[in-house]
Amino acid sequence: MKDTSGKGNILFRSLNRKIQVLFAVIFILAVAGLQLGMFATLQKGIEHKYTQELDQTTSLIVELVRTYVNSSVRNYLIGRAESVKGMVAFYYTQFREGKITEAEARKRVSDLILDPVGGKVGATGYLAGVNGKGVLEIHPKTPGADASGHEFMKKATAMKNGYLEYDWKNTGETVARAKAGGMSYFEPWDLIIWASSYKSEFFNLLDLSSLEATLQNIRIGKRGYAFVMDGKGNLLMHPTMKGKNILDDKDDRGVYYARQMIELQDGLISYSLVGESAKDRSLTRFTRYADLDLIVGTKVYYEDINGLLTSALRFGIISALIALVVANILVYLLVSRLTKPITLMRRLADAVALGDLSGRVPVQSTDEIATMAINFNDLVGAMEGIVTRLKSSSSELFMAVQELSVSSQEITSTSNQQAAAVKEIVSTMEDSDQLSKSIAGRIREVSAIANSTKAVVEQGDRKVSLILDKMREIRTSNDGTIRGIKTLGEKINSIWDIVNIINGIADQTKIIAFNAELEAAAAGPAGKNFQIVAAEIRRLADSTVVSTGEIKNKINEIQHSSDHLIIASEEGTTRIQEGGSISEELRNMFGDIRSSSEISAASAEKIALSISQQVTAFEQILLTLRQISEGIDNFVATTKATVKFAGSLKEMANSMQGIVQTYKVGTHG
Amino acid sequence: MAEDGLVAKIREAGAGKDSDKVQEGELIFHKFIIAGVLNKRYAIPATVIREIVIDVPIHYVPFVPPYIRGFINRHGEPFTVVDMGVLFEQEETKERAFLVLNLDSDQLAFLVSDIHEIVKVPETDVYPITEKGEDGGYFSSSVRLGTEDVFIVAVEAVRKRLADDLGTP
Amino acid sequence: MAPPENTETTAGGNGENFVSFHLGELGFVMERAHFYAAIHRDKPQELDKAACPGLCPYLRELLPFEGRKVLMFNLDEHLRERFHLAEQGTIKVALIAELDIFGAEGGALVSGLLREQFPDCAGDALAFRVGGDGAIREIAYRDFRLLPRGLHDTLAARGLAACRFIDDRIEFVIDPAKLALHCLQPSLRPFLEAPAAERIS
Repeated sequence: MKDTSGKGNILFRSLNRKIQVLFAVIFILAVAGLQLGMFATLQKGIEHKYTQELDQTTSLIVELVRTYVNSSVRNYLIGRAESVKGMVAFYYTQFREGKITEAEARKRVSDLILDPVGGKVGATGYLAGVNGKGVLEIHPKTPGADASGHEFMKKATAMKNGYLEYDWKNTGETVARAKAGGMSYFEPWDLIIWASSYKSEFFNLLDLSSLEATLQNIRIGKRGYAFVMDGKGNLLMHPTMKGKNILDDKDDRGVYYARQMIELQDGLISYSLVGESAKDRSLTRFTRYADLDLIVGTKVYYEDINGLLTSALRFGIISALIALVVANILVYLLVSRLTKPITLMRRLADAVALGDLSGRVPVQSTDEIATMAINFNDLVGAMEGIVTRLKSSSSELFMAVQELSVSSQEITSTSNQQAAAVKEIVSTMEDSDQLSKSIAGRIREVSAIANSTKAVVEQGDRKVSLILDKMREIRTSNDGTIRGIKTLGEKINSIWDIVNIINGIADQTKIIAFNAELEAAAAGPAGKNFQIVAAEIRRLADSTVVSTGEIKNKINEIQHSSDHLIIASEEGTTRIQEGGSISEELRNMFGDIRSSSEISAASAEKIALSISQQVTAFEQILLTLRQISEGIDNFVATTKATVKFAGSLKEMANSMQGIVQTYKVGTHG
Repeated sequence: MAEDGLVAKIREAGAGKDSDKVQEGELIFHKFIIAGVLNKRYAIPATVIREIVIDVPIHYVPFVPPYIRGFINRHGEPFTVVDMGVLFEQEETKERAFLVLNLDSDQLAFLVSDIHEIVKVPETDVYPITEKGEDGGYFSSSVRLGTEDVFIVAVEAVRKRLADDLGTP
Repeated sequence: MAPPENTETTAGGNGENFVSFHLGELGFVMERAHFYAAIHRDKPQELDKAACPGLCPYLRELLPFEGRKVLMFNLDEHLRERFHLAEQGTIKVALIAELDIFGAEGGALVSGLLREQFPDCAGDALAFRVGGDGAIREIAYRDFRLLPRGLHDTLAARGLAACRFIDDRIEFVIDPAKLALHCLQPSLRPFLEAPAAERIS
């Protein structure tokens, strides 16, 4: 098994690591793409949001200014008219009280209204008194003028109290300008007190401090704010630069931002203030409040916009990193679990490579890896089966080859012996051939001798017959002797019976003697006579015993003698029989010799003929044997080659066994 | 008085006391039956033997120890047969020679292999083989016969064995 | 061997009637008064051995008698085994005895045995099986001899009381009750048995 553990990039040495790296790369790419997209979207969104906010805020501020100005101006003008009406009412009261005359009172009212200071409203606005018919009774410029034909005057005379806005073009002016008037009607004199002012001068009429305070509270982001600038570049409201004229200010790029705003009147502009660097650049939404010729703007610093994005970016990166680490750990664990069977398979594969086929991968699930494990097990099992069969076959082969080798060697050895033996036979046959030839010569000599022997044998045969007859006579008489002796033996046996009876009597007598003696002893003195009787009986018994003893001895002697006699006679008979048989044999022998000698002569010729035939046969046999010897020599050579071949086969079987033995097999079914 | 002494002696001799001894002169003689049991010889005092019989049938009886072979009939009376071979050597006696004992208290016969002789020996040839009080088993003394010492069978010991085994007095 | 002819004659008046029978060459006599009936043993019923294990081996059959079943003790078999006799006869006679032949104590034992083990049997009688040549003879007491004193007590306790000799043969006087009782009380069985010994030749 190749050791790949030290090869390749360290990151790619294991499947787990590969998967982790791959996963990390994918994760990073995915997350980075996602983050970038998200940040881009976020940035746009934030910008858009901020832009919207700026729009809204600017609109709101414009509306706020408008509302404030309008309401303030309205209240101011009405208030001025009311206050003047109050003075008029005072003077009327004085008139009515008689303190002053009506003309005096009217005069005072006119002086009040036309006061060069008190009668001014704003820069060019003024107070006036208009009667119910629309005649300008009191007017700084055109007193007594009839303005009833003007639409606004019709409205005013109709209203008599309140607020009115209208456009007015003074004589010599080409463009009508927006004006507004506050009214308060003094009915006794039918006089509408009129306080008017050009809208463009409203800002001058107002106390803008609360508006300023409101605007100053507006914060967009950390540093962003709202401002109001007039058409000449004067900052009417600004958190830090109020009253400054910025018409000629330009930012770090050389942009005259104030002029741009006045020129464009509405839009978005990006600039940095004089003295600020590029990083302080801001985004400003501005719009023109035409009535008052004001530029209302709200700005937010890019720093504020980007700050959120930066936080989001930082958060995204950190969270992505954390997610990457956690995901990697989980991936590692999961992959480790999944690749465990693969690791086991790898180990088993190593073992199989080293020859151990006994192991198997445990299968604990049903997924693809488990299927692979099962297949792996099957493969190893099949290999094991093959190796087992191979082992068995190699053993059998080895044994067969061994036997073949041994038997080949034996055959070779036997063949060698056979070859040697055949060679000996050949040599012997050659000798026999020579011998046969010499025998033929001898036979002729024998034939002559046989004829002369025949006459002698016939004479001998006659003599033997005579002897035999005599032997028969002797045997007959011997048998008679033996019968006589046996009869004697039987008679002696019958004597033994008598002797035994006598023995029994002797024993009984002895017992009687004992008893008699006992009785005599028991009887004491009275038994003395009986003692004598007992003694005599005892003596009788003793002598009987002695006599029977002697009889026994004698009979024994007779028996021994007759036994000897019988034995001797039987031996004699045997000898006679043997003699008879010998004579019989002798006669037979003579007869045989005679017939043999007759045959001999005739046979001699036949033998000579046979011998010559035999010689011929011997020569043929010899030839055949020589051929056999050659054949055996060839066979020996062949078997030697076979032995050699068997030896090679044995070596092969050996090496095969050696190879197969390196494999270890288990006990799987 | 000399006559009284003589009468006393005669009376004494005639009373049959010590009739197992025979006094001849100054010597006292004892009579023994010498019997063969298997391959050994034993002496039995003649006075305890009533008769000697051979080749009579033994009638087997159960419920008895193995050395009791049964009964023999002696004049119509049953006599217990004690096989001396079994008693002494734990081997059955094949022969049938019986020493019928002369006992008042029982009817016993010893089965032996052979009856050799009756001997009369002087008392001086009878030797005790145990110390006084010692139990010699079936033999209390021996008798010198030529060069041979033959044990004398103590009949009482045999009777005692019988009584112990059967639980009879 | 055929049982011997009875050639004995006894004087009248000093004798008693005895039941006698032979097993081979051995003769046995018992007091006739023990028994009140003698019948030919005809088709006895074999006992179920499994039902009463440990029972005396000679109690194997039930004998029908007068409409009831009487337990039978095989006395002949018992004697054959004790005396090592070979003869097996075919004709069997049974003698019926009352339980009082066992005495008070023995009678109570046998009665209890019958009651507990054989409730279906007659509870007051026991049959004794004997040899086929059973006969009643009058024999004078003087013809008998007590067994030798040394053996008498032992043998009498086991049922062998006396004997008499007729020519070369012996005839034992037996007490069947004592013989049977020893079988029924295993603890009292004989512990001393003579080996297979002499036979009458």
